[in-house]
Amino acid sequence: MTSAPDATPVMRVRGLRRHYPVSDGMFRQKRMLRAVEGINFDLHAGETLAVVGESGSGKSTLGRLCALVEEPTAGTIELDGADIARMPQEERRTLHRHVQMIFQNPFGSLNPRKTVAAELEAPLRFNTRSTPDEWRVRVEEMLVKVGLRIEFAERYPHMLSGGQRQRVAIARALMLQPKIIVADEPLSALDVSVQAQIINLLMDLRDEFGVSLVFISHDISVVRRLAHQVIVMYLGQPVEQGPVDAVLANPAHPYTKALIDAVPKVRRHPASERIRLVGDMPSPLVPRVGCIFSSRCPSVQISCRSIAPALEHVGDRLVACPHTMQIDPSCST
Amino acid sequence: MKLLEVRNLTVRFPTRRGWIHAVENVDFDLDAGEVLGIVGESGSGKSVTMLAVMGLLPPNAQVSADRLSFDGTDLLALDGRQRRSIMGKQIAMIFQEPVTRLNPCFTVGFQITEMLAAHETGDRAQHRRRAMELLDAVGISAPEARMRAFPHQLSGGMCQRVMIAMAIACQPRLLIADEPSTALDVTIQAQILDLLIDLQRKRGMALALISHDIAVIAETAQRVLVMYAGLVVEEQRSPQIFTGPSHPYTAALLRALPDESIGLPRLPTIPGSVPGALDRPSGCVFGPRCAFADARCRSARPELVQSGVALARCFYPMARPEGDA
Repeated sequence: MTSAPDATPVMRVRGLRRHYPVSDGMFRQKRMLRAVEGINFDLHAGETLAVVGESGSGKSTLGRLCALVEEPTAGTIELDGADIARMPQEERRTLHRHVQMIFQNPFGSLNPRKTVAAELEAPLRFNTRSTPDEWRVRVEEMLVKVGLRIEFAERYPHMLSGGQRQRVAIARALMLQPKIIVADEPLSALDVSVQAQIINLLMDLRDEFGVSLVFISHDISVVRRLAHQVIVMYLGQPVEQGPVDAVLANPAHPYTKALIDAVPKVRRHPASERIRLVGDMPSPLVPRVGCIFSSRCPSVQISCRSIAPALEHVGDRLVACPHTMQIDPSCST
Repeated sequence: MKLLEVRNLTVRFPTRRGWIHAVENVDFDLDAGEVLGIVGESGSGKSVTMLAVMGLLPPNAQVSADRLSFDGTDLLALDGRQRRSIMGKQIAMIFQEPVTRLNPCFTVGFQITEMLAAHETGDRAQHRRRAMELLDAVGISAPEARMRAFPHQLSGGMCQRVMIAMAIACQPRLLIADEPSTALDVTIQAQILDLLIDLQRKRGMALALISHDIAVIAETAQRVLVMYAGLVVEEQRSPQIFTGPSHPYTAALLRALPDESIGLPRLPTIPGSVPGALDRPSGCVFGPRCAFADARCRSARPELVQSGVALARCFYPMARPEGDA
């Protein structure tokens, strides 16, 4: 599943930060919206990294940074060991071949005036020196791979169901055989009975093409199925990061536990003690003192309001909470 | 006691390609103080069913029913004035995307007092006081300050709390919640569902909760209707429906949940996709996607019939697992 730890990761991210200047009113001072801060990870070939958090946690901004459509304010992104910021212009232009994206809403991400074939040919047309006959062959191959019939090549998006459109979007992302696909909530717009099909498809294609996934989702149960590593984000910062099985089975940060507890389940153990968060996520513009989660934390202590905890190694993972919840070793896998 | 009775409800819309049946032959009852969950995918008719009860469908909709009554009153025979005296007062409804459902031009306080002025006696000062009590009851802190807030100044979760405050303002006996938590974050969704169930218990009102998320229904409902392609395909009490689903569609939906198949290499899926309103099969609507369908399912459409403790629209309802009551 994962390659040897000494292998060069497909993507290595260090100290990634994205701030947006926000001005409210003409004479007011510009403020900084800290959308993403302090992200570090290694993503190996064929591995899936999940990013979870509430809306406004910065997970989509992180996805855009990983997809190289957004410039980081600080920090480095390495692809196959090469720092992309130091690459010559010519080489940077070809980078997008290696990182592709799948979006949430397949109704908005496909051009309504283009047939499926035209949509799938476009990446080849602009990025490779192949001929229209070769495009044709590749499009048909890819349609079959994502579970669509060849006739779909001549159809327009409005003739397809949501699940079929998302299959086309996945096919488009795979056309250039990228190393990494960033999928931003690819299941949320789909019918429940179709979601499982798309999850299976993503897992099959990941294994077949050896592509790595950055999977952005709010759905913990899907993340548990699909991902190897997880980053839990809150207000732009990672609060817990580590192997999916361990983190989700046995969350160390109170926010992770609250997020897991909030997911409705068909079978819930009646005895389980749930954490319920009170209130909303605070504004990312308000200057923070102490722990970013302290305003909603159920087990907040006085020191939390003044000292910001650092992301530190606790056993198999990184946690930004000094009052780490008891990790029961028997649950950990 | 039966609060809401629906018998053979059919809703259809004219289109250039003929009539579209949004909902067909829907039967169900709702008792006072009961929590009914209606689960289905988009296009299953779950919202249209409840909009028909509320009389909120567009004018071109053709609604017919053998019986559609609330507390003994025939809802189809009402004129506009009589209908308005029941809707909002005795039956209230909240919707998905609360931010768009509130009027952006008026303060939250104005919109709640407007509701009270329309249905209740008393003067403005009393209505204001009552509005603040309501905001407090739905868990909004500093209600006095929030009364002056415009919807855009509030978060999605807060707006939904305001919608709930408006809905319960006149002590309705039935609250219909159409995907009340769908556009919200999971943490806020949990808060809103807890609030709805808490209010339902405290005020003894009936709650009809519509959701596409079977897990949301599992956590809240006492009885569940499963809808598919405009039809009720199963009705059963909770939690029995989740341990022993009777219709293959319910069973397949439950099996497809990622948490239900931990350890399996692949998720069990339902092949194909939901049929559109114009291309529904003539036999069983779930037939083309069903693992157990045979020639009979393709030629004739099953009725909703008793099968053990459940009602199921299936010729071959699933057996309950052994040793399960």
